[in-house]
Amino acid sequence: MNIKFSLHIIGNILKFLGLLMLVPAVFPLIYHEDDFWSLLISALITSGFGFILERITKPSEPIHEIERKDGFIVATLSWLGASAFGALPFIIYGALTNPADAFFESVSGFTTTGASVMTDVEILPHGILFWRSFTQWLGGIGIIVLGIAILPRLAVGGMQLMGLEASGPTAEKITPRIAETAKKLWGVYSVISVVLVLCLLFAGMPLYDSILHTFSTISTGGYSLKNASIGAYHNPVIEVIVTIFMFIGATNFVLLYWLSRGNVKRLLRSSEFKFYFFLNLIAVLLVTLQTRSTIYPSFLEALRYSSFNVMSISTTTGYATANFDLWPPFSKWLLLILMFFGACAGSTGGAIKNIRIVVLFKRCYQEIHRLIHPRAVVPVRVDRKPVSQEVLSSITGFFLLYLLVFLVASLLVMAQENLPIITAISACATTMGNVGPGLGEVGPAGNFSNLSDFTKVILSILMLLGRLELFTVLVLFTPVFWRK
Amino acid sequence: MHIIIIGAGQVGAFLARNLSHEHDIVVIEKNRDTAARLKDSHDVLVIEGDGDNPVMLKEARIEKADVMLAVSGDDKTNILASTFSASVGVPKIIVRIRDNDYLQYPEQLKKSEVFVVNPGTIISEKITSLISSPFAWKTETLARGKIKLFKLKVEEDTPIIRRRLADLGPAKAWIFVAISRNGKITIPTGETMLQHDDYVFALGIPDILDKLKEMFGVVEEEIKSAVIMGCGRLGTGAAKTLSDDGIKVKLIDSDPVKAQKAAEDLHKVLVFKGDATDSETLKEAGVESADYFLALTGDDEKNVLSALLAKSLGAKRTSVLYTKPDYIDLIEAIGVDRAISVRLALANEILSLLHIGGVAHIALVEEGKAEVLEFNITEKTKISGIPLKDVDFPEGAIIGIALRGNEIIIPRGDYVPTLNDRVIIFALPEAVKKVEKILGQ
Repeated sequence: MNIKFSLHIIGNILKFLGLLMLVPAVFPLIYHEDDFWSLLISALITSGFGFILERITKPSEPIHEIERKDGFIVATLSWLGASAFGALPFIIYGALTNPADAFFESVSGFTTTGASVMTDVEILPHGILFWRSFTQWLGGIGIIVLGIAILPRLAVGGMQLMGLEASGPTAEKITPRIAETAKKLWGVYSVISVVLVLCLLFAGMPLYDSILHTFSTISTGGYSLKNASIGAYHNPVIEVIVTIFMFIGATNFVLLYWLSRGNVKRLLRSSEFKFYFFLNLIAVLLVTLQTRSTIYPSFLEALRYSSFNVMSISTTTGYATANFDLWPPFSKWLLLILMFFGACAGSTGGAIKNIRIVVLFKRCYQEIHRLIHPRAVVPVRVDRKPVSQEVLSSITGFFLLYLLVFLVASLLVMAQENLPIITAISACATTMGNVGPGLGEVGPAGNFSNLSDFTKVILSILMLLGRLELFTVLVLFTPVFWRK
Repeated sequence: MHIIIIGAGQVGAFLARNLSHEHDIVVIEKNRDTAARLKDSHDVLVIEGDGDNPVMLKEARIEKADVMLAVSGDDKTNILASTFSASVGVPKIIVRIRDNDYLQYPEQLKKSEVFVVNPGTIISEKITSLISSPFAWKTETLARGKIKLFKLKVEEDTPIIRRRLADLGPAKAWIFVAISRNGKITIPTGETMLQHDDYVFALGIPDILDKLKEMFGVVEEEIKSAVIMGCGRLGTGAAKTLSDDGIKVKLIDSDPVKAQKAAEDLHKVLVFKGDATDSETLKEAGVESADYFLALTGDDEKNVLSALLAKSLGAKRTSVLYTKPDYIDLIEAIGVDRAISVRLALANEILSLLHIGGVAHIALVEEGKAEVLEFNITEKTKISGIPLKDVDFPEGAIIGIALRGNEIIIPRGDYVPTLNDRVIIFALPEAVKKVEKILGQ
């Protein structure tokens, strides 16, 4: 294990992150606002810290490989570091004075959760708001993927790093070189983003709003610059566009890459994509049918609100156009289940991921089949390929650990706060799944600002755990990891 | 370049690692664990599946491939993969074929622009050159036989020990290009002094071996008898070559079927069945008075143990075959005279067939701790016409020899690279890129 070298890489990444903070610093110049210095100072602190860290940990001999154990440290610390330094603009500007609040907001940004402790975002200057949404766009496809694309030294061992950061059970390469793969993924990501900005402009959203909403839509983040989220525009066209792009953001980017090269077959053959598509379809229909008879007067209106809000939850984005906390219990429970299922592997979305759910369902079926035909050999197949025993057990393990962490965290939250059970449970589920809003007091009408610092820290940790898919972070807390 | 490698075994993985720094590599491997390990450790694309499956080859984008290296352990997979590659027009195809029978028809294979590498032939050549000059620790044949690289060991009683290299006098047709001390390779200067247990690498024409022998004060005895363990393809191949050269050869194998087959195929060779890690069998085969013992089975540990046993029983010299790269420094340190790597030999042969961008990586030295490169001086070469002393030549590399027509030049500061010269460079891995910048196209 070479912790010094891991810190060297972290320094490198932070140095770059500081430079990115200069991007929002152009807005105070355009709009004549007072957040220029706070952004510049944050950038200097971040880059300066990164630069010094990089200098003092510079290895005496060039190292070409990152060891396996170092990978976990690099992945966890780069996300923790980015979140901590990403909170600086909020603190220095004074938008959030409590460090726990600022950290929560920043983690929620980078992990594309979108849960907020801000009660009024509309009073914030353009630069700070831009940074808040920009963190989601950066975190969406991944800080490390960005690092791999621009830092050649991450090439060897980069595959493992990317696997640690990427969502889903296995990471996939699309070109022989990891740096090339990372660049291609960023290419797809950027092109989709540009298309979305143009679509939103076309639908009548102002340019600044379009860019910020693009950041948080395609990354399935969910930060908005309006207190009423996308609902503030009262525009069904915008809602449809955003729904489509949330869905795209929650799709496997490797499949999108192949689609962009004209390979439709891979997408249509993907068991996960098919499952995800029909899951959304059924959920939207069920909620439409139920809310139509109880809340909304017409079928079309019910369809409009249920499709947007159900898919906002299932893609783990977290926008809202309606207060779904007022929906009937069946619909609310369905949303809670979708918070656990989450998006597809290899997407910008969070939670357990549909591929794991698909495999677990098939595993259950296999068990039943085995009872009837004890001697039959029935492999679990996904996309016509058998799933290896290791992947099967890692998926089962992940699922169990996910539930376990969720149970422990919700107990901790309930021990600390005197909240209704549904609020506490949904707060944990929504942060761990990187969704955003929960139900009850943390629902679309409320936010997370009333919680205690302790709870905010717990929820921040849950967001990081969820984004890095548990094992990457938890492995650092095992004695085996540190044993020589 | 886009290079497809079939098989991530010892040879395939080694090639993938060495080529991945500069080229895009796609490896097709059918074993799930092997594939997973390669995926984790190298920056290459690994596809799990059969190398002769057109769907897999398509996925590896064979239509875009510049080179196909079919080096899996299975002849038929390799041949099918290469046939498919030839049909889609891959410009360069190299196939590893174990079965000698395919080599009976070299014209047919040549016609389809396919290069065949055969481990048996390569190892037999290695063994022959080791046996004909046991003094050299390793011999690489370069530039189509015009140049050889010798690895020699400095002993306590070597006459040139503790003398400055500059004092050895100007050499005519050879040069010491590197010294390996405690497993670390460096490029010597005139001030460098040889020490006990150093290995030196000498580059020169094949005839210099006699001159080197004189310098090192070595008197070699002729090898008259040899005992070989292992009746596999490599063992029987080597037995045949050696016995054809007039050496008395005995073969040992623990597998009765293999022993029987070898006995039927080889007329002049006496075959024993029995375990070569058992001293009774070795004694029966006459190891006590043998000039050479060769352990050529596929089992590294068994090879080493039997060689040590043979040595303790009285065999004069021993050589073993090994495949695991980690063993390189170990085997010779514990008393086996020479270790031969099938993988390295095959990889070197394949690299020398890959003339990439005017550069030929003609040999990897010591498991890739150093490389020998060959460049042609063309109109585009930057240093063409500039005396060497005015060139900022990278540290960690040395021009060993220049070939001008049939003339051999040992370049000094006054050497001027001239059009159509061929220069042979010895370089440490970190200097390879810089050398290519100076001498490449």
